[in-house]
Amino acid sequence: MKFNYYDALNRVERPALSVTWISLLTEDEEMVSQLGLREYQMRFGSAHLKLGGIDGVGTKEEHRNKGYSRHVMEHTIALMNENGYDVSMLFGIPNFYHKFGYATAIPETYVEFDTKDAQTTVPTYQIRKFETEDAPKIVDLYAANNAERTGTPLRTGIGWKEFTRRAGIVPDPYVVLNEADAVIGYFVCNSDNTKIDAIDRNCTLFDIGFQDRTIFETIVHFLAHGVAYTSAERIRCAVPADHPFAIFCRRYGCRTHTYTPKDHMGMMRIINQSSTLKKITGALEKRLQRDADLGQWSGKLLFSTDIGQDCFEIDRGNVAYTDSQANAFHLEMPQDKLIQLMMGRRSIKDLAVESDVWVNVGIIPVLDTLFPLGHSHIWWSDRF
Amino acid sequence: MKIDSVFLTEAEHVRAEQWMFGLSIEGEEWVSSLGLIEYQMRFGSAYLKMGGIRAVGTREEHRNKGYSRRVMEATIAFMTENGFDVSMLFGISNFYHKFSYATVIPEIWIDFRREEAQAAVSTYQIRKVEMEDGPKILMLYAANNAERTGTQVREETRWKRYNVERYHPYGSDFGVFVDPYGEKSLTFGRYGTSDSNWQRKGVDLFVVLDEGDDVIGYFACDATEENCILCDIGFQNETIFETVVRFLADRAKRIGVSQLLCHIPIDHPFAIFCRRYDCRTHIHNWKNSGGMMRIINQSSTLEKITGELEKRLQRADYLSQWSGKLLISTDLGQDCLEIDRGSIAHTNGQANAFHLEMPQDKLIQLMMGRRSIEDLAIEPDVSVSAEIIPVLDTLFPLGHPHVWWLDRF
Repeated sequence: MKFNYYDALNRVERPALSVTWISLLTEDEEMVSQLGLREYQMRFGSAHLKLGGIDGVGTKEEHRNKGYSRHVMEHTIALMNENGYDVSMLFGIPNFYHKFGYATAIPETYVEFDTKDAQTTVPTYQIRKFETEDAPKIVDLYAANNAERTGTPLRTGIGWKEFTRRAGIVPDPYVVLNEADAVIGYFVCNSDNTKIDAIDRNCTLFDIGFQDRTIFETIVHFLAHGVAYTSAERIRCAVPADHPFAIFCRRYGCRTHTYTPKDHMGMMRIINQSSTLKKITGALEKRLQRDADLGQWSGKLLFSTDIGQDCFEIDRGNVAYTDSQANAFHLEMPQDKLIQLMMGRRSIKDLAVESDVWVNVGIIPVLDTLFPLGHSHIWWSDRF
Repeated sequence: MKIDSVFLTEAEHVRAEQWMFGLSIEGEEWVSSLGLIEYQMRFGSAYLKMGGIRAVGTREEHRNKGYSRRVMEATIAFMTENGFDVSMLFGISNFYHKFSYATVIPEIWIDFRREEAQAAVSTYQIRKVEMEDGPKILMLYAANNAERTGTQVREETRWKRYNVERYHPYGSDFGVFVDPYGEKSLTFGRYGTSDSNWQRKGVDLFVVLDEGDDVIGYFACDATEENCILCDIGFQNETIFETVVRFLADRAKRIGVSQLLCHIPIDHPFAIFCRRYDCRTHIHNWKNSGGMMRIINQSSTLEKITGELEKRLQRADYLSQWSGKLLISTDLGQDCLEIDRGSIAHTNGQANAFHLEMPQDKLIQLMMGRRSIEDLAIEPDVSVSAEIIPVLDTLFPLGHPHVWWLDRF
């Protein structure tokens, strides 16, 4: 058997991300199992990590249960390792990808309120359908709004041009205009509600960006009164729980539902621990220096996982990667737990009770500051 | 028509020592009434004198005559005269905002499947609460909730009397129908029209014991066989959580339900622990109903919280040395906080102060962490100097206020 690589970089329908299809072929050149690997930069706070996004994992029906998919996955992880990827992400089926060191890291959150509770809203701005020339402004707003949102991809690189159909969602994008017809916000609804809505008659918003919060009431008014969504009984918004629009929706008596799945959906693993930790030192330094108690902390932290050992030297709040491990405080855990800690899914105190985690008690407050619980997110427009 | 008040102490049917306010009309006594409980509520590490309003009701034949409004107004006047800082109630929809109460406490449900929980392994022993467990439970509660805004300071004698010695009256069935998914609107059984046969079921209170039979945790479950609901929990350390989950899984199996529900703050360590069981979290941010509050005495409230605000400012490195004056103006009055290199004092001198102007029902939402200053700043009745928004964001961050069900009234 052998592997084949098809670089789909220029495929018209997926222009934003570089995709390589990795296929397992039999000796007579029959493709039996494959997956897509897309490369992008993912934010970890203010830092950027090279991420390998995996999708389209599949094996022909007659060739299932022969270990082919495992073969492709293992080969892809090795490939990412050789090609300088820091971390990898996928949106997976239950109880399969944990076998390859992936752990659930991204929660699924949506905020919903009853349309009748938004009837009194008053629109201030104009709304029109998204046009291709709006793309640069959307990219700017997105970058500003998500500047430190862990999990979000950078919509730059190859060039983000439009909202494309992703994860089965059919985008219905709009922009908000000020008095001078300048774009001051955007939002995307799902024109096919059958995919991510369990309940019919909902209006779903799954992406939003804003210059300032004054546009929110106009958007809610549009959702509650817009012609396309007049029959919706509820307005459901797939936004992070701490997003300003989620806080805004509290005035409509909203419910915030968060699902933290186990071994499926938004999962991640570390590919190259050393490069990952080196790249995030600046973001960690910021976190430490924002804390008055620990801003001047000094000491060494040695991270030991099943994929290696790495040491940070912290000198009065400055964080640097070091090869010298002498007199370091120890943190020992499998990499699938380290990625959960990094992504804010689990706290160090929560992990410390696990039998395969070992940590010097004295550095728990430092680790709590470096890796706080958070609201990592990947907008549906960027899913793969 | 007159309004009387009486102070009740030891009646079997009352929740706690409380004032009762009643309106009598010619020929008929107490046609409309309510109860008022006094306790200390935490605002971070500060304590505020709280007036908890409960059991608001008017005899059916006398409704829609404004009687309840009169009793409410008299009670607010009483609290103002008697040094209460703030007031709280758990209200029906669209009534109490007329008295300037605003929703501040979210209702949170965490659910996960019994089959997931059955993987938990029990390490410690669990037994029902006994009289002598009271002090240890209170100690764990105080430690766990030391800075949890909204929580009651559990006074030993009173708390033991109503939760350990006598009966355990309040589970999460306290008039609110369990509906984590928000399919139904919030309905109250007692005075609402939806369920006249509603009866409180109470709770079963348990303690977790270590090898030396010392109490190292406690938790309360609704005393019902319809659901498996945990509505209170306290712990010495996180190692007890797996034992508690296993207990809940076994309880759920015994009563034949497939789902476990926990009513705890979303940032509580047990809520984070439950993430390993494929859990779902549901936060209900009610509008004009549920856990509502208002400020009674703005000056005393702001004076009492200066120490806590100082802590918040000093924890934020880049603002810990900030200096300036904040003038807070609401419909209740004006108060000025002087901040001198991170130290905060209530002051009478308002010269050169930055301005924050909003109704008190929005100020209480800001204080309790329900709404952020950036979110409030876009309201037409809110005015704030743009340069102090980062300071106000640090003083009043979004938060997770909570009132445990055992303390509800």
